[in-house]
Amino acid sequence: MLRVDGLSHRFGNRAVLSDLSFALDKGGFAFLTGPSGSGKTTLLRILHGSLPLQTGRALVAGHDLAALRPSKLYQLRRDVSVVFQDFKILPERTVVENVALPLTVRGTPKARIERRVASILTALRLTELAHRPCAELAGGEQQRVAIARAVVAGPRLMLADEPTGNLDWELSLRLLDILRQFSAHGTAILMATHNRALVAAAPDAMVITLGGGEADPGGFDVGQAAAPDAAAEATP
Amino acid sequence: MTMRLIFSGIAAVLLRPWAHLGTILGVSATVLLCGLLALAGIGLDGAFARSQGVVRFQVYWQKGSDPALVARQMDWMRALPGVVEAKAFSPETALAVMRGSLGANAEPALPGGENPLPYTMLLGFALPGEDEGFARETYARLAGVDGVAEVRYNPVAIDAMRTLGLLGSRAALPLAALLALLVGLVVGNTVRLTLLRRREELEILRLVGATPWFIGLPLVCGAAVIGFLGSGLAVTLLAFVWSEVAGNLGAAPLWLDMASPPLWLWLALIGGPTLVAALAGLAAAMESNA
Repeated sequence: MLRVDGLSHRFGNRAVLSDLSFALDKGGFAFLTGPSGSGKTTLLRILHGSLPLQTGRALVAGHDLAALRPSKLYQLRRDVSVVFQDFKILPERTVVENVALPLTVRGTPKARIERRVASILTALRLTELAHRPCAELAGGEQQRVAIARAVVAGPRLMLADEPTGNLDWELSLRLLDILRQFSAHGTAILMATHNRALVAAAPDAMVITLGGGEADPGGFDVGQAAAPDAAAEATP
Repeated sequence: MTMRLIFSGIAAVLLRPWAHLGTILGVSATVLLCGLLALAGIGLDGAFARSQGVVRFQVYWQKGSDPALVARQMDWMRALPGVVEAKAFSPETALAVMRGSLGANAEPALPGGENPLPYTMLLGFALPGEDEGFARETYARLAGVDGVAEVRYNPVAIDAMRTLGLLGSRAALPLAALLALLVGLVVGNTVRLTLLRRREELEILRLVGATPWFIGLPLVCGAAVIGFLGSGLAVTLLAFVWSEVAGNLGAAPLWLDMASPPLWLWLALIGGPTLVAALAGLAAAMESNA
């Protein structure tokens, strides 16, 4: 589902990612951890086609990023969804309209959109908010809308960039549980977080730990479960 | 799918007209200004072209002149050599023309309804070459008619009109190009900046897998609607201004016969900005993809 080989990325003279390799199978769940500036968001942006692949190879949901033309980027994004820390939802539109967006842009028939959206809203306990503008929702509710939008079209891979960054501990755990359920249904999930307690809450998940900002070829423990230190960082 | 995208682009503007009001008014103001210049240029150019080689005299009889005598004198004047146009006004018809020019709020008649206007006649003579002597001699002949109180004739104004007409015909193309450039820059940039306010929405659409076509087509259609509404409003105002101005210029003292603007000009004033706005929509879509 996701295979990265020797991926490196630089911003000017600063190496952000260096010789990174890992793989994630269908239905797999992996945490992407590391301190601020370690390249978590950069990696997710590369995998989603928002940044160009500079060095190495990345096969993402069957798309070879090195060979992907900009005009075909939408094909990658129909197979790979993203949940952003800042949600990136349209505040003036309703929950239903936001969640339906990935299906709408695919030209899915209206009846099928309604069925699929209703099902996802039920799963994420958003049914009662369905017709409220997202601007009126609390942060946790908006986050669930973002997740609903990310899974509604059945992506093969979901990238989540610090999705618990604005949530309290209880909501973070609930979000993790929701993501694990989608993972169990076949969607591979790569979730960036610096919350070690959250990583500790899913001990069976793969952990990809990125190093600091400067070039550090040895700064990655790819595919190795990091030792979560809940006491050090978690503030549930 | 394509029709749905087109309708969604149009609906985005029509369902939220107030959000686009500033842009529509900006387009309107630009097209209105350019349209006024174009109409003035075309109208005056036509008027000058028709007046070239023609010198006009306005003859005023004394108040209370004998109508039968005036009628005979008018016939004599119409038969003068070189006359190409002649308009005769009785005091009543002159008063009616003046009422039409001044509008409902002004009354040219004296208290008691007395008509202050005399018999008048407007005569146009074809100038034989550049013969200024002909104009002076004709003036003397008309002024010498029994009962004629005054003859107005302004060769300087005619020369000025002739020169302006010549300049107008030479400046027409550069002026048209300048106006087109002005419309293109102002309308294009205004619409493009308006659409780029939706950058965040466009970014989200791209992130969820929208094709460039899905994003671009509604933007182009919405922009075209903005251009059409703006230029349509401007052309409506222009038509109103034209009817008012042309009527006044066609009366005393200018007697400029302003023919109706050609259909292609109206079509260009609507179609041009609409096309420019659509192209600006395309530019905004491409820019948001960059």
